[in-house]
Amino acid sequence: MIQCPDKLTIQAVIDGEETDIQIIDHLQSCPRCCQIHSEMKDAFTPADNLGSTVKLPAEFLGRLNEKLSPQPFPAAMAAAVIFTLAIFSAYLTNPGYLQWWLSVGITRQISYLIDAFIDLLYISHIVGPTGVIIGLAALVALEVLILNMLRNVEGQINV
Amino acid sequence: MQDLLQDMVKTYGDKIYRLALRYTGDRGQAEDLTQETFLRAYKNLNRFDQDKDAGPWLFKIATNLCRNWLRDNRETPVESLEGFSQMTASSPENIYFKKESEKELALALDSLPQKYREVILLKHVGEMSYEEICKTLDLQMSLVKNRLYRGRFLLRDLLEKGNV
Ligand SMILES: [Zn+2]
Repeated sequence: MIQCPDKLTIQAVIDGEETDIQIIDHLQSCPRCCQIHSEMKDAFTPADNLGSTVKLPAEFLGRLNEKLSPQPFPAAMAAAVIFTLAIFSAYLTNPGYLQWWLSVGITRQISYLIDAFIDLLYISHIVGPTGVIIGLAALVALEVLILNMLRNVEGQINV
Repeated sequence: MQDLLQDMVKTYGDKIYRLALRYTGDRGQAEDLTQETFLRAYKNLNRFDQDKDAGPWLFKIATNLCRNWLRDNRETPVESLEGFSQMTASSPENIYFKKESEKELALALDSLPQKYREVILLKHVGEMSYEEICKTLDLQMSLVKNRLYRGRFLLRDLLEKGNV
């Protein structure tokens, strides 16, 4: 018969980590070790009870994949950043101006844009396609003329 | 990469969730910690040697997250313990006693010094071998065996004496 194993070896047998058949046989045949083995098993019961069969929610993997997929920069966040910058710039311009900007400025600027767009539509209906083309050509010609004049002025300054 | 992570979730997800549930006592928090474990694993997947067993690596991440959780949430929510009251008994008395004993066990576990608690939870909840616990906690084998032995007796004593 082999020598009585120490407590840590008996623990390893209980945990299935020690599989030496001689030690296992000894624990069954030696009354002293048998008692220690039995007491130890009882003492480990509370720790054994810590285990459970709880499972992760079925949606876990889906939620994890969602987190892993690249998120597009949220449009709302972009709008909020632009809005904050606009307010900040208005505030820096003139603190008193901020209130006007918030109460009147935004709606007024948007209404200017809408008005201009409607006016353009209205005019294009009156003048017809030919009129629109002539109007655009006139605008282009005017732009070219202005750019040419600016170049000349620039040239004069640079001389 | 994502396939590898999914395999890890299938193999270790439930165990990590149970471990986190033992630390937090709350399903929502436990799920958050489990999710964070796998998100961190995914971020560091290129550093992980795929020939090795992912268990100790994942449990190391999870244990660190649970430690941080404990540090930030000192009060242990033993009252909830929702995850561990899955009854097989049908009578109200049995349900009551099961809940009470579960509460006492959770309190005893909470009273256990961290060094014993971690080893015990990895063994009994994570179902890890001695070798895996050594790798997870970077401890010597003799230390793991000793902590397991002393921790189990301490847990038993805390419960018997009601000293929790
Ligand atoms: Zn003996």
